[in-house]
Amino acid sequence: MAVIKKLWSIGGGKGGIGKSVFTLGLGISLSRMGKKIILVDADLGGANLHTLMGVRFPPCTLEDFLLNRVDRLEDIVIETQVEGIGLICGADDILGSANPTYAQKVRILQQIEDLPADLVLLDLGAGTSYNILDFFNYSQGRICVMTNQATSLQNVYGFIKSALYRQISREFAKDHEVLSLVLQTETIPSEGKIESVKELLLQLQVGGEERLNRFSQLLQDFDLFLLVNMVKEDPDLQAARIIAKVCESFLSVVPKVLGHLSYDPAIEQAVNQMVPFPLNRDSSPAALDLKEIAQIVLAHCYKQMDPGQKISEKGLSFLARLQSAAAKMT
Amino acid sequence: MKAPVNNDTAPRFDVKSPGVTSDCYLEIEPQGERQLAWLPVHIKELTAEGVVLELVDLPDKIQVEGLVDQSAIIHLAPDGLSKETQLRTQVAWFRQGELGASHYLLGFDLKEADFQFRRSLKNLWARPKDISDLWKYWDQVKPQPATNDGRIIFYLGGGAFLGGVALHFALPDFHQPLAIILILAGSLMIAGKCLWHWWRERSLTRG
Repeated sequence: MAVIKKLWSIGGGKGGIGKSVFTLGLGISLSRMGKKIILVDADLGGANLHTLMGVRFPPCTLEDFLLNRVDRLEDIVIETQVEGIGLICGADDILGSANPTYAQKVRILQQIEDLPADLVLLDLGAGTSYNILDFFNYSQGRICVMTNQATSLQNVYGFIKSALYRQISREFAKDHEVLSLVLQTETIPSEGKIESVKELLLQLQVGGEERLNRFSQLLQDFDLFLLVNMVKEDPDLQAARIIAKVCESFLSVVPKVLGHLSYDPAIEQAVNQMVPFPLNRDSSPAALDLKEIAQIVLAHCYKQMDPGQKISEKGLSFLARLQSAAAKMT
Repeated sequence: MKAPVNNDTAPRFDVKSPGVTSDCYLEIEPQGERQLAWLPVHIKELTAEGVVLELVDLPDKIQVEGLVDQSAIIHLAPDGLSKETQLRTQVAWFRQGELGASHYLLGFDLKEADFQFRRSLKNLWARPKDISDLWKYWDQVKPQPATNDGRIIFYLGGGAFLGGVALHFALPDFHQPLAIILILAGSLMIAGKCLWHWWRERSLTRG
């Protein structure tokens, strides 16, 4: 069966929420299911995935590829102590300094996607720079890591919103009306301001069916997963529900809850000992959570979701009503 | 392992949900009612002349037709620059909203509003609604910090229990009922506090 979602990005906006630990843990769990995995440390400027993997001095990094010291991305994949996992180590923020065009970034991403592996996991850095957002949006599988901390909720929502608006801006780069409507949502509110994507859609309704359909399709395709990390108590899980609800209300996208990773002192021990987690810690709570998450990820890799499932019925009926209204107008 | 998140645990954002507070309240005395009603409202529109407040859930006992020309007080939460402000005004008009039978829009005149009230109104209105909702959900589900009252009950219960045990060994037989009463009271206090804590955690998990 062909892999439908090969490239997965792990982002979340905030630093220190466990994106790299989760990326590594997910990679190891997937490799134990017989999959060939390549981890790419795209946390440019704060790369440390190799350290978590136990590699102190990476022999080559993404910088070698970006500065054309090697021809193929494949040449900088290093073998690791975990069978079935290759690693591309991160570099300093050379990509940020180089300020590449979108087309250049897409070329890099295409090479990443073509790497010889069943799945490629991209560990993104913190923040909402265009480079991070473009890497995130390009990936077929998108995971936002968050914790139950108030700051994490704020950052993850900001990250999702920025990613969606970046996607809209790219998709409608030549449509000045859409761009001006999108930008209006970011300005100081005034009378008749647009506060949600739903309201944006209502405005676009006037522009005709074709544009509305394109916009609706973009929203349907913008599926992403939420993962709550460092969960200590059941109420911590509500963090994902809050984000899903606000995203549904204001962005017309409904992130799915991928699962959670329990708070586990074994992770801290593994990090300090530079032993890849969950290696040799298979029965720890977080390792069991990772196994469960890996199964869900695999299920989504090989199964094309019905587009109708990607948005809530409420959102779908809203879009359907808009589309039918636009059809009547044209 | 934590329980999987399901729809039953989703946070509910409505004015009736516990923990949900509004930035703006309307205080009004409905016709035929002796009691003042405090209605949580949202600022829907704002112009130089007036403000439109959105009433998401009008209680059944209040007839919206009877509110027109009624005197009312608009209470605004602190906006970061000034403390709570209020304006005594009148309901100028009402309009049925789109969200159901109890959803209404109420119009108010701002002729009497001073600079501070207008500024607070503008600041509260200008808040991004998505972030505002995010914090409202957060307030709804976040665990409340343990209060000193709760700790005092634990300490009192523990003290009574230990005191009872000490008296049990120290006092002669005819004082034993006092020791038993103290042990029982202490145990009940601790058990009651534990049950209360468990019930609260459970209700939080269920949203």
